[in-house]
Amino acid sequence: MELSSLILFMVSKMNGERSKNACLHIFRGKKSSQTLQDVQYFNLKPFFSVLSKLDAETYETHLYRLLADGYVKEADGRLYVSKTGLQKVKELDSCYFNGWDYRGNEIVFFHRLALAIQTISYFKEGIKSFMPIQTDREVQLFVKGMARHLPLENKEFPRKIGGELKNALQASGMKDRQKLIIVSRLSGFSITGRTWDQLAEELQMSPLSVYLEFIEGLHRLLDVIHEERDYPFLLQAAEGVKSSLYLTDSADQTRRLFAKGMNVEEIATVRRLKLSTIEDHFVEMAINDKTFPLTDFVLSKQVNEVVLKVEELGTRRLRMLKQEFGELSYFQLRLILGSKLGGGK
Amino acid sequence: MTDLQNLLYEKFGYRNFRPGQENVIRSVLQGKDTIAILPTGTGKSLCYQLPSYLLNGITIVISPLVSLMEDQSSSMRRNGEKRVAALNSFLSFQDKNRILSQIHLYKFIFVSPEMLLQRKVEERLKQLKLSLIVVDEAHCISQWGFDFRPDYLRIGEILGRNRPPVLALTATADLKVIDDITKYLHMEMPVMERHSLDRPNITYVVEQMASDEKTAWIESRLEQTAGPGIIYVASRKRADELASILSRKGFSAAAYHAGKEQVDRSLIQEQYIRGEVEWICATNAFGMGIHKDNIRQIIHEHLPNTMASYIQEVGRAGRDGKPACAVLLYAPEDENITRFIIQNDMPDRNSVLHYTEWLQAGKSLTDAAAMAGMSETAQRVVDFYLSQMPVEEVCTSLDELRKNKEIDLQKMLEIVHSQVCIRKKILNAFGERYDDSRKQCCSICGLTEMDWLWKVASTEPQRKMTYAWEERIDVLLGI
Ligand SMILES: Nc1ncnc2c1ncn2[C@@H]1O[C@H](COP(=O)(O)OP(=O)(O)OP(=O)(O)O)[C@@H](O)[C@H]1O
Ligand SMILES: [Mg+2]
Ligand SMILES: [Zn+2]
Repeated sequence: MELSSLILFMVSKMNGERSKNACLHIFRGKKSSQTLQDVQYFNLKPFFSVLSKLDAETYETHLYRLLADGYVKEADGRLYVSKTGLQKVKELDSCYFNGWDYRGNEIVFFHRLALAIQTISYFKEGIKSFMPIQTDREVQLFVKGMARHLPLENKEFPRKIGGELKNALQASGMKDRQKLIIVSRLSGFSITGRTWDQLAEELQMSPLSVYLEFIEGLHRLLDVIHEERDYPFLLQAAEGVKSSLYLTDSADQTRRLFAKGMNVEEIATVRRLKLSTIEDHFVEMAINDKTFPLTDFVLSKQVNEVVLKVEELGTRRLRMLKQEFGELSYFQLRLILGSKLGGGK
Repeated sequence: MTDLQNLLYEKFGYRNFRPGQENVIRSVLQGKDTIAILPTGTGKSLCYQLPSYLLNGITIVISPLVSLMEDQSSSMRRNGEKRVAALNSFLSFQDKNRILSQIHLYKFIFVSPEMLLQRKVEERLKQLKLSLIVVDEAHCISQWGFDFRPDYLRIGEILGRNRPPVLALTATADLKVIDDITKYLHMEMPVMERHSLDRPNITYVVEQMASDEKTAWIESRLEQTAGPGIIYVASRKRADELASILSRKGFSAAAYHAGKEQVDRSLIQEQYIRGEVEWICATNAFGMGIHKDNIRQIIHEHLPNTMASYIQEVGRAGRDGKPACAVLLYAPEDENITRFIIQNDMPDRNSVLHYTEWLQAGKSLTDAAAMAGMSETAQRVVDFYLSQMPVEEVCTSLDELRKNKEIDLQKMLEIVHSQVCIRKKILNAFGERYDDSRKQCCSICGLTEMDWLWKVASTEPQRKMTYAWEERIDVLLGI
């Protein structure tokens, strides 16, 4: 995975519409309204904030390579993709970033994971104090909190964690090389993690490419962790990592109260808002949050029936669905549509 | 056994003090300002840790490098002392506030000079009962203070009159530096515990060669002689380049410099300490305070700016007491390269005058500095001086500084071109006498009985063990 390939892909999307720094801003996850609009409008959300520390020099080196190879052209300060460039775009390996959801927080997740694994590994050897690979106190405190609820003294525990990590990596669909990269960044009692330089040398890739594969791998891994419910340890390490910034501020407040265990009515009372407003927030959450616990509100049998009906009728009109499913409220229907089908009409 | 010795054993597991430690500790316990000049690796950290347990109050440790601070605080935590906090400018806003709000719960607080100058930190510290203030690597007051850490010079002001005793620790201080330490820390008739900075188990070697021969020399050196070691180079770029040349040749080598991300720096340090990497190609970011006991060689590919930094870097070697070797590679053009580097950042009379004119014309500090062609560092130095003295004196002081830097460089050059014992030259440079002669002393006295240095059979560089990803998880978790 090359940075220049990603740039080429992005240029092909924004073809002639934006100046040369637009891509750089997207990589860095700049929170200006221009950049936020760009990612929405050109469908570039996956790349948002993927390389938050990308320096202008590196970016330009890669861009100039594309210009020199004739894949990209610059005119009037804007970037265009050329014919050969377009051909090249078609040949690119597909990649699966999810920068919009994670916004650089995938690194936070990984730092926690690394420290948790290191802790488990040392505890297995009966060693309770060691040089933490993570000096960030925020991460240290988080993992300390996590460790309090882990059966660190249990002999079988490391095996269980190892199994969970292997399964999740396997399920994520990333390349074996990416699994190796991710795992190689971890340290334990009898083995120390590898640096970017070392991995680059061992895998015969540039350090930047190694890093991109690492980030893409983490995005895949995090998606799996959030979608399936089989990875309790990893999900714990991923707490709060998924961005809720796509929720409106008000919906986000509702989400937090819900996370504390309040129900719709209680939230409406506490926030002194209309019930319908809070319901709108829940629908927003159902649309945006893949971990939204839909079955807290409807039976999974009902969900399946609604989904089938929508396909059968070829419509998402609420009024029509309500006629079919008299026992479900409008609110319940909207939640199902939101969670399974991205919203209703 | 004395009570102190009991405590030494109880808290640290050592039976005996190293030379100098006990005197320093007693002086601190008597509430006296103390300057301890003890050679690299003797255990200066213990000189404040142990007495702190007998004083009821907080110990503040002022430390010049973030990495040093992190190292020391996490190694103390690892040794069971959990009441340790480190305040530095790399902390996030929340972290800083959290530490500050709970600061009374700590026993040891590491702090960087620039943090100490922050109003909020200063005020918080004033409310605490402090029992000891430690300035680690105190030579920085002199060596760096003028250079790019003017903050160090203000420590004295911040501490004020009503303060607990101050303990200054360093391995390298000549009379001038001792003067500066006393003056800037506002010490009152400090007790001085001064030991020779000589490290008898280190052999000094100078090798003259052309610049373009250095890489090949290093390669064959690594092939024939013992590691682990550190190769000091002049720039980050060169550190990366040399490390990759060496690893491509099959040596176990890695680069370390401040441009690497924090995790990678910890990884390299950890790999090195465990012996998973044998050679580190480093800038001066890897030095002060780094503790690995079995380093056998230090190679300098470039000419260090000052004798003090040379001694600090060489001081990483042989901390287990076994023989070690320090080699300085010198090519004739090195002199001018080093001179350029150290003079380049020094503002001259003209730019200072321009700077003050722009300021008077109402420009902002940064704008004025930019227009006068001064770097940010230069500006900080000049600002400090301007706050202390009139413009004309500032210019004279800067001229003085420039001269001093040249003198420092000349001292390094004397070592390079020395016709007499290198050890003697080094010790004389710090005002010590040395008329001994011993074996394995230096490349002038002769390098006999150095069998330990040479590899018995040139060992094939080991191919690193590589695992598949699933195996690696098993190894990590011991399953
Ligand atoms: N009395 C002692 N007996 C044995 N070992 C000791 C004693 N005091 C300290 N040490 C050990 O010596 C090592 C070096 O200590 P330390 O890092 O404090 O050295 P230092 O003098 O600060 O060196 P530098 O000038 O390089 O910073 C440590 O591992 C420490 O535990
Ligand atoms: Mg020290
Ligand atoms: Zn000699």
